[in-house]
Amino acid sequence: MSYSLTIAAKAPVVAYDALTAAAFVNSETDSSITVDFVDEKAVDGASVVLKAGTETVKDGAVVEKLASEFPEVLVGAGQSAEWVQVASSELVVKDFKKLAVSLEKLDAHLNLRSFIVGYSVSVADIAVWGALRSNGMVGSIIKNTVYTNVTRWYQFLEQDKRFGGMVELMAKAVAELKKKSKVKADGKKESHKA
Amino acid sequence: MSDLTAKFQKLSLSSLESPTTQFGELSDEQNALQSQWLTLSKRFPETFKEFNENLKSKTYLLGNAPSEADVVAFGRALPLLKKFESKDYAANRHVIRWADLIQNTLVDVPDSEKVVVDFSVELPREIKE
Repeated sequence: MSYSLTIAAKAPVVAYDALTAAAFVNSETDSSITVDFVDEKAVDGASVVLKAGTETVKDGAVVEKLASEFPEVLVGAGQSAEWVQVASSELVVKDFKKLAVSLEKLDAHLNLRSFIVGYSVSVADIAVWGALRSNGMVGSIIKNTVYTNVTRWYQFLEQDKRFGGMVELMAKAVAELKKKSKVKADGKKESHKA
Repeated sequence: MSDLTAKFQKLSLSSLESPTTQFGELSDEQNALQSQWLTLSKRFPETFKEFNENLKSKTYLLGNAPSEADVVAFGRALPLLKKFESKDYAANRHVIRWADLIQNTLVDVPDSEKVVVDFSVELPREIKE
């Protein structure tokens, strides 16, 4: 089956979870997911669209779909469900008071745990990290170590090429898109003149 | 950037003092840190405090990747950690977390020899000083 993922780089909640999930599939399996970005707020009305063969899934269903297709690399989907829910509903909020309650809960969970579920990266880590990465409120909270365990866990994942590395890759790709669209716009202008 | 899913052959509990090396190359600084932790781990339990402080911000002793220091120190800590009760958790939470990671990933510890971690123990939040 062929897979292609398109991520809206300006979406209110950028789908970093889907981006990381795709990177896991691409680095750990023989399958290959084509990843594209659009410099827009939405793609087909969603933050992310996955085409899997003839099927199309959007937003939160994307990671779920990938996890069901590649359970050997996107592990622990069942046990992750609770945290996937927390990620999409509580960790993307910009209201500091509400966010603080959820981060405190995550911090307590990580007191005695290196990963959210089990002893390796699972769907829960991908969902929670992605949600936090997309939340503009979170960067300084992590940097200032407001929540000791959250910061340790977040930075541990960030240094992995499929987490922080993909975010960098996306930023570069989007910068390229911007450059190209500028050239195109100029080109149009010229042809209009002519 | 390292890869979190690098696969390791699990070490046996009896081989921890001189593990057959299978870890990545270390920088000079990491080598120095490794020596430091190897030395400090000889003085458990009084050096648990230093270990705990270090592991607050690091998943493994040297940072983001496992090293020989992790398995050697784990072997030395195990007999002591097994005696921990829930009242010992708050002050040693990062050591317990780290030991639980090592015993479930790098070292093949029989269930009867493992540190039993009670995840239901509620610990007060640590505030950065």
